[in-house]
Amino acid sequence: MIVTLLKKDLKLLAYSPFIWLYLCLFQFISTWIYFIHIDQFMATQTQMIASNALYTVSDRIVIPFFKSMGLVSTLFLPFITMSLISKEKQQKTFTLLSASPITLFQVTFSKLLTAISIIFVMTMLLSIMIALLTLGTNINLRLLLTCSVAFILLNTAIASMGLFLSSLTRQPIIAGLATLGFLLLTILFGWNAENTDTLLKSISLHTHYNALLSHIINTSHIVYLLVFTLLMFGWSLFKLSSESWRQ
Amino acid sequence: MHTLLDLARFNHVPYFLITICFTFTIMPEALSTPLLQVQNLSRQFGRDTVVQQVSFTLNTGEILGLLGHNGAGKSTTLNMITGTLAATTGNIQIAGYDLHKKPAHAKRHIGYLPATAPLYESMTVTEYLTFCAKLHKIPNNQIKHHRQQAIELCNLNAITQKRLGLLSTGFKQRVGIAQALIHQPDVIILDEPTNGLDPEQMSDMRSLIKGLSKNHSILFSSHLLTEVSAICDRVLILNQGKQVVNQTLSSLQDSLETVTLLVEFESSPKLDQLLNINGVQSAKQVSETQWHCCVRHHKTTAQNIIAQSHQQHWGLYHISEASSLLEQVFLQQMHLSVEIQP
Repeated sequence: MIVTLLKKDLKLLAYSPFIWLYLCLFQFISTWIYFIHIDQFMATQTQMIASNALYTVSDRIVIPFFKSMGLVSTLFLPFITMSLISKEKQQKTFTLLSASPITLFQVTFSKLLTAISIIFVMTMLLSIMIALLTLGTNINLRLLLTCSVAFILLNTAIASMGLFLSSLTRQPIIAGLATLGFLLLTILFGWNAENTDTLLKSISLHTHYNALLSHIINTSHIVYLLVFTLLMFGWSLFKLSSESWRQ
Repeated sequence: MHTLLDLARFNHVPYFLITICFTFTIMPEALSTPLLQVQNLSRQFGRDTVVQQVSFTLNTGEILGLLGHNGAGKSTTLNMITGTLAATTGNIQIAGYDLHKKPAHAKRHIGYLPATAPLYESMTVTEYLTFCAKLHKIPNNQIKHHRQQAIELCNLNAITQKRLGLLSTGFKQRVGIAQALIHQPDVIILDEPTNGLDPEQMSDMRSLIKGLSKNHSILFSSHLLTEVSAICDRVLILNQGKQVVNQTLSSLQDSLETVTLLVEFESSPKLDQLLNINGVQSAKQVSETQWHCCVRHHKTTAQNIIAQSHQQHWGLYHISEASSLLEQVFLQQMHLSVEIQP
């Protein structure tokens, strides 16, 4: 049943020009940032050789690129998550799902999977661009894989937050703005990390994401992002179930 | 010739016993149990009680009309019956399954068309109905058959490849009904199915609902009295969330205390003359030739009026109910004046 619901959501997305425009815009911005990082690398290459610095292309391009894309996706993903459940409620199609012999878990999980599918496409686009560098230089593919997984984990956490906020309202735009607001707040928590409270620092999704973008993987950051995702998913399920509970 | 006793002998004994048990225990219960049984259903939103102690049953092949003003609690009642909203108290049994305890089993036996047809506007009719069939867990090899049956029943053959967003309101409602019956449920629940339709589409919709009642039990809500009296076998009237009437149409007519008759004469009688007729309780002249007479036992009183008119040469040329009997019942139950405007 989850597959049926997922197929339906992806089909509806594919019919809409929105998703194609979204992916085009994401690709355009990510390519722009990609070339900025390559330009910066080219500009500093001679200085690095002169100073015998040990930085590689992977360190100078892959990690900063994924760091930047973490911020870009934070601004992009609410546009996808805002309509996950609220649009179904707004169009009254949620009644069709809740009056059918399926569970709310199946409905909610399929919505999260829809967002994850888009995240996969976004990650693929980024990974292909980085992988293209192997044509001219050596790229640490393990680092690329780590960064891609970190990017998926961060965005899945963001999607789960968007899913929860989308379950609270019938207005997609409100869900989208609320998600964007919360995410910008978490960026701020992590941004000024050196001067701020360690608690705030540890709350920020981006602190954990940035920590994952390295050659050494600290599983505590993976656990945090996964727990955050599960918590938000659980709250979404709780919110939707509470509507059909006895008062 | 085999008799029951012959069957009971030798190897047939277990089958015989099973048949007997089934016939005398399960079957009568299955036949007598209503498809839908609602007991003491209530729903509160904060301090407001929107639905209060509603109880009714829906039997096989029956069309039950849920009638009430806007905001009387009709949609809330239907939402609770379809499992989209929980009841604060009460019990709902659908085809023997408790909706609260076994929602998935119970929901398989109902098809629901909410007040706004739940359509994905970028899907085609075929895609949408296929999705609905999958939602109701119809096996893949049977989906085409079920879909075709729903399309033919709702007369959607001409628009199967059209996008739902491009359809007219009438066709959208038809597609909504098609999704409600695609899994061939025992009970079809329709929330104001003729809302937003033009008179011709309304008439088509009534014929469709009548046709569906041959194979399904139907519960539908409306605030249109003509619609309910044209389609339903039984009427449930809600007033401010409370159930005030649950009767068949024929027994409703009998239960009316007074009926308002519209009577037209060529030469109008005086008020006293009309009030002297046996059965006439009150009368009001609404135009030069027209009178509204509030009467008891309307059939015999009408005969009395005709006889008196003949004797007094009033030239009676029209006598009928001033409004439908259901409308009069509805208004009486709503504690409103039965006075009818000319």
